[in-house]
Amino acid sequence: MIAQPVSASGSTPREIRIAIVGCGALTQLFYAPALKCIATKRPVRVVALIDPVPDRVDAIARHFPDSIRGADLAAIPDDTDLAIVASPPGFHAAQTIALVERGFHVLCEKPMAGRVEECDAMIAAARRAGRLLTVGHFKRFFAATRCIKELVDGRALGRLRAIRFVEGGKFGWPAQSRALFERRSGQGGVLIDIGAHAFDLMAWWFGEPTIIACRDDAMGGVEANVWVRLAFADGVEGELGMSRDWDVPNRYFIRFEHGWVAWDPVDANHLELGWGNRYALKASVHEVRRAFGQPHAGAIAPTRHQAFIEQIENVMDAIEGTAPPMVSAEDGRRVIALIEQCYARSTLIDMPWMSPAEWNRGNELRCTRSAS
Amino acid sequence: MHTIGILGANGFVGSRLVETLLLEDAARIVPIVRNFAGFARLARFPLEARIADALDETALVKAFKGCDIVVNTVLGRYNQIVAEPPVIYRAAEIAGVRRLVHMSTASVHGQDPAPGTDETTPLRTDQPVSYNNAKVKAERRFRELRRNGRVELVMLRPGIVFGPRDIWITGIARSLAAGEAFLVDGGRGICNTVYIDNLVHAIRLAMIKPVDGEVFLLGDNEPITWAEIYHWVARAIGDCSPPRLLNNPPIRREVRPMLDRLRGIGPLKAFFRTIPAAVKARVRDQIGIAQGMIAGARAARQARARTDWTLPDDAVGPVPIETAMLHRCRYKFPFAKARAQLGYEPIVSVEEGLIRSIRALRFAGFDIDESFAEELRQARGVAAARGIPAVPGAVEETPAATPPAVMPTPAASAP
Repeated sequence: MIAQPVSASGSTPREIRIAIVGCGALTQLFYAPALKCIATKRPVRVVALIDPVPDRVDAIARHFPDSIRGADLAAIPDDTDLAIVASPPGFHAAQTIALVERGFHVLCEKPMAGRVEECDAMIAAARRAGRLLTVGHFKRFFAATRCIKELVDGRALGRLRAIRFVEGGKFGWPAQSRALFERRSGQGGVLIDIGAHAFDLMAWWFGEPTIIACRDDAMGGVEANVWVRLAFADGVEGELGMSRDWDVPNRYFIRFEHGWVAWDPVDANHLELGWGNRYALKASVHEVRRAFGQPHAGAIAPTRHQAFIEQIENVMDAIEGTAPPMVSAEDGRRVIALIEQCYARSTLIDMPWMSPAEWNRGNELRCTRSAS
Repeated sequence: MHTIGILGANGFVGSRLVETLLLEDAARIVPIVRNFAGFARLARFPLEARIADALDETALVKAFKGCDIVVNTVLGRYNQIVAEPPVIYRAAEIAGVRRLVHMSTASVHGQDPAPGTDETTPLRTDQPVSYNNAKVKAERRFRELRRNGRVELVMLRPGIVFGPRDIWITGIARSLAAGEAFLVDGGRGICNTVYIDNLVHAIRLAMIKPVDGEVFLLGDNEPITWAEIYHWVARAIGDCSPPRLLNNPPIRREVRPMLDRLRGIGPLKAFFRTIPAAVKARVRDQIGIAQGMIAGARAARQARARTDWTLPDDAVGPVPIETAMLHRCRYKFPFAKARAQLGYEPIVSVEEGLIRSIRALRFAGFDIDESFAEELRQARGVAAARGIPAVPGAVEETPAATPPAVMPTPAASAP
C-alpha cells in the first residue's frame, strides 16, 4: 500500500466521487455496470468521464447523466476522490501520475504500465501525494483463485511440483480502437495483456518466478502468441502459454505432491481437483456456512462480474480506511518487472508452417523493429 | 509491384496469404478486416489494416482504394455469402480494382461428388447442405456481375483447406482429446485436401495469369482418407481414445435446404409472393413459437422416457449430413484445368502439410510426440510404392536459423 487511506468519518460511509478515464470496451462492459450496481447499495457517484472520442464518452454518459464529459484530465472536478484509469496501457503512467498529483486516489487498470521505471515513477508520485494507488488485478477477487491460494499456502495437497498455464483464444474482446495492437499504446501484445493477470496470480500463489526462456511471434509488430518457461523456488518448473490467435484450452494446471488442481482462468467460482488416476472433482466454489455444528457448502461464491464489483468496493473501503487494498502498486510493479524480463529475452518462436526464408525474414522484421 | 487488398485478412486463408506475401516482400498488402478485434493476428507484423464490413459498400470502396487486386477470403453464414457478391463487386469497380479473386469452394459440387465431376459439371442449388447452395448462388451472382462489369474475376474452388489454424486438423485434435471423435463408415472416404500453402500458391497465380472469368478446382497431389488423417493426429497428440467407428449412423439433415426446395416449387413460389411482408413476419414468429413448443414437448417426452438403466457412453446422436457425406466421399477432385491454365502445381505434399499442421497444434496447447512425423513419412512412402504419386519438391524442414530448442515450439511436455 502506498498511502495511508483516508479514515472513515462515521458509521455511514460518505459518498465516493469517481472519475473514469478511458471509456472504451472495458468501461462499457465492466466499470459502468459495476459502478451502477455498487450505487444501489452504497453512496457512490461517477462525476466525470474522460476520453478523447466524444462518442465513447456519450455511450457511457447514458449510465451517468450527471457526469462531466471531457477529453482530458483537466475536466475532472477537484473534489473527486477516486480516478479509475481504464485507458490503453500506454497512457497509464502519465495519467496516473497526473491524477495522484492532483490529489486523487487511483485504481489503475492492468497492466500498470509498460516499463518498470514508469511503475516506479507512479509509485513515487502516489507516495509524494499521499494517495492510494492500486492496480486492477481483479482475478485475485475470484473465489477460485483464493481457494488455490489457500491450497498452496496450507499445503493441503502437499508441495508444489509443476505448473502449466495456457490461456487465450481467438481475440474476441470488442476493442474500440487499434490501441491494443500497437506497441506504443498497447505496450506489447498478448504477453502484457493476458500475461499481466497470469503473472500476478502466479507470483501471489507461488512467489516470484525466474524467467528461463520466452518465445513469441512478433515480427515487427506485437505478439499474438507467447510461451514462457519459468522456475520457482525448490526447483519447481512452470510453463505459461498465451494466445490471441489460437483457441487454447484455457486451463491453469497445477500439480502438487498429492494431487492436482485445474482452473479455467475466466471462471471465478469453479475448480477441478484430482488426487488419483480414476476420478476427479469438477466443482463449484461455495461460501462456507455452519449448521448442525458443522461446516456446509452454502451459497455459491461470487461470479466473475461480482468479483469485479468486489474489487472496486475494496478500493473504496481502502479509501475509507476500513480495509487494506487487496492489490498494491508494488504488486502491479512486480508483474511489469516479470513481463519486462520476458520481452528482454524473448526470441522468435518456431512456426512449423513457415519456410526457412519466411522465418528468417520474420526474424529480420522483428530485429529491425527492436532496433528502432 | 501489385497492391493487393485482402478481404478477411484475419481469417485462416487470409492471414496465411498476408504472411506469405509480406515475408516474401512480394506485394504491397492491404489487409481488410471487419472490426478492430480482427487486428489481433495481423498486428504481429508492421502492417496498417483497414476496416470494412463485406456488406458495407461505402466502407469497402474506401478500403479497396489503391488496390489493383482484391482477394475475397471472407467466410460467412448463408445470408452473408449470398448477399456479398454485388456489394464487393460494385465496391471493387468504384475503387478501380482491376481483378477480383473470389474464394469459392469445391463444395459447390457437394461433399460427395459423382465421379467425373469437374469445372464443367452443372451446379445445383438444391443440395442438402445450405453452405453449398449459398456458395453456388454467390458464384452465379459474381458471374452475372462480371458479364456487365469492368472488374476481372477469377474464382477458386479449393476442397478441404487444411493447415495451421484451420478448423479441420485442429477440430479433429480437439474432438479426439475430448473423446468425441467419430468416423462414418470407417472414414474410408477421400478427403479432398488442399494444404493452405498450395491454395495460397494458386491464389497468387490467379492474381496474375490471363484467366479472367475462369473458375478452378484445386487440390493436393496425393489422395488421403479421413481415417488416415484422424490416425496421424491421434498418433501425434497421444493420450486419447481412437475415433468411434459409426456404420450407417442416423443422419441429421439441415432444415434450410428443405425449406428452399419448398419455396422453389413454382405454384408455391407464386403463392408466397402474394403474402404481405407483415403476414410473413407474423407467420415466422408463429413458426418460432411452434418450434419452441415442439422442442419443449420433445424434451419432456425424452425426460419421461429416460431411464437410469443405460450403459455409460452408449448413445450416439445423429451425424450432421455434411460430415457423413465428407467421410463417404468416393472421388478426388481433379485440378487439370488449374494445372493447364494457371500453371498450378501443389508446392507442398499432403504428407508435409499434415506434418506441419500437426506440429502447429502446439500453439493450440497440445503436446506433440515428434516421432509421428517419421512414421507418417514411412507409412505414406509405402503407400507411394503402391501407386500413389510421389510429391514434387517442397519438403522443407524446420528453419535452420531457428534458435536452439530451449523450448521447442510452444509447448514442452505437460507437468
